[in-house]
Amino acid sequence: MATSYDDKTEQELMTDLKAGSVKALNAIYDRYARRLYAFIIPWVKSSQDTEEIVQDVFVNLWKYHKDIDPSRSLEALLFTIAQRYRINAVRSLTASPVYEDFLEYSNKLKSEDPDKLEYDDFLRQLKQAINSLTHSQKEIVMMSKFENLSNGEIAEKLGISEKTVRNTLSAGLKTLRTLLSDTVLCLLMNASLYLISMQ
Amino acid sequence: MKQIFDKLKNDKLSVEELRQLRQSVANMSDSEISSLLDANTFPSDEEKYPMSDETFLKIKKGINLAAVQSGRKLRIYKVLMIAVAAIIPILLASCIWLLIEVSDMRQYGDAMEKELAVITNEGESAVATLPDATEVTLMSQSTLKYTLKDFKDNSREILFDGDGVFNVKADRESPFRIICKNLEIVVTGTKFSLSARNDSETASLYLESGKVEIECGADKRSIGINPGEFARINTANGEVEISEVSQNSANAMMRGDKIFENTTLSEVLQELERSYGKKFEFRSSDILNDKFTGYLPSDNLEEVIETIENCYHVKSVIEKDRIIFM
Repeated sequence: MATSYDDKTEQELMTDLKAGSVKALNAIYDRYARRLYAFIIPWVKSSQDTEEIVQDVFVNLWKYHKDIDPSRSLEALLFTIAQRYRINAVRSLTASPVYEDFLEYSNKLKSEDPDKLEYDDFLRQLKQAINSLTHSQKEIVMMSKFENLSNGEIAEKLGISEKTVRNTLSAGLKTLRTLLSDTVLCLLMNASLYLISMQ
Repeated sequence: MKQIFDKLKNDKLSVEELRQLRQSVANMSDSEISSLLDANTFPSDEEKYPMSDETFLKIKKGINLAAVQSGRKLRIYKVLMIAVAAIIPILLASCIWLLIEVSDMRQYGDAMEKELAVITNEGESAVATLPDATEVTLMSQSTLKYTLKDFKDNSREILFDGDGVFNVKADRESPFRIICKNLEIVVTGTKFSLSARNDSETASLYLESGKVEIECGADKRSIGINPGEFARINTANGEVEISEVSQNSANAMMRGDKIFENTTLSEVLQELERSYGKKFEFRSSDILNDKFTGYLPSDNLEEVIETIENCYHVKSVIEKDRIIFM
């Protein structure tokens, strides 16, 4: 039996983990973390969200370590869990207004291979721009873009008329567009410059 | 569709394409999406989407923190469960104990409030021992009432109606109060005989020893009686007449006998009737005007009959509700 954790077989790791070894948990993390990250992020887009998911996978692995069946494949287990997250990500991504906005802006610059960091930056800039809106515009824009609520749903939730929602939303988005087009272009410029310099 | 997913992966979709994809995905099953995902997953992804060392360590730290916490939580939970399991029987036992105590206390409370009474019927006598060890001999048709609450450290109180001989335990700090219908007697430690009937205007008291205060009348003035004195009280107007009595009379009163001094026989018979609940009759009615001086017990019918027989040279016929002397 291997003494160093690096040499342990998957089965040995699983057995140790089942027995409650935090060391085994860490060894498993070392082996699979980066792969899982790359597995998930192209579909989740946001690096912050992806980091959370990866952490969740291992935290849950620990939570239910007693239920592990060491005779099964650890890899299969981990990636089956991760796949679940991926499927959910596709569903929410395709429905996301924020992603739609991102594509809108991203397509303005025909770049070969946009940096994934771009989405994070976009998100950050978007949030920053939203922060500079008025209080009611901010609230309604957040609900529309991030919670994906319809105008009617927003109206009901806030107890105001749908017309008010529409007006506030349009005013807010107008401001955003102005704010973002400046910053996004800037970002996109930076990205493309970076890429050029890499080549 | 595979290509669409590839565009999705690389952010190459147009807004219109995204909208279309939105519809398609909504109609897809999880396994369909899963297949499309796998079709667009490559080993080269690991290079293409690297994780920074910083992020790597950050996540690792987060995982370990959670693992330790859950362990800690589990341990705390276990300790808590043991503690609770230990406490519950103790709590239960305490509750039961408390309930028992409380019900005892309630009984105790009720007991304090409850009125205790000693009642004698015609021809009966009884000795009542009060909580302070005072002894009261009740003659016939007498009632003594009190509650434990009335026997506190600084006062003692009873209700009395009838004839009795009192031997009150001395307690200077706690005056003993006898409450009658129209009259109150206060003592600290004395021996006396008292006759105070609710249905009689006249009450009398003979004091053997100690000191007695009689409170009577509308103004509730009190009159002190000294040992050896006999007090006749008119409860209607509060007049108290104090006199001396012979030792024999005194003894008779302290025995609980009824004292008669030049009392007409008819009155005596009335008194006897009251004491015994039976009618006392004389064949010859002339004799009823006779004056009688002497004592007759109120709890011994036989002795009364014998005494009258001897006194008036008559013979008695005892019926159910009356005694006829002829």
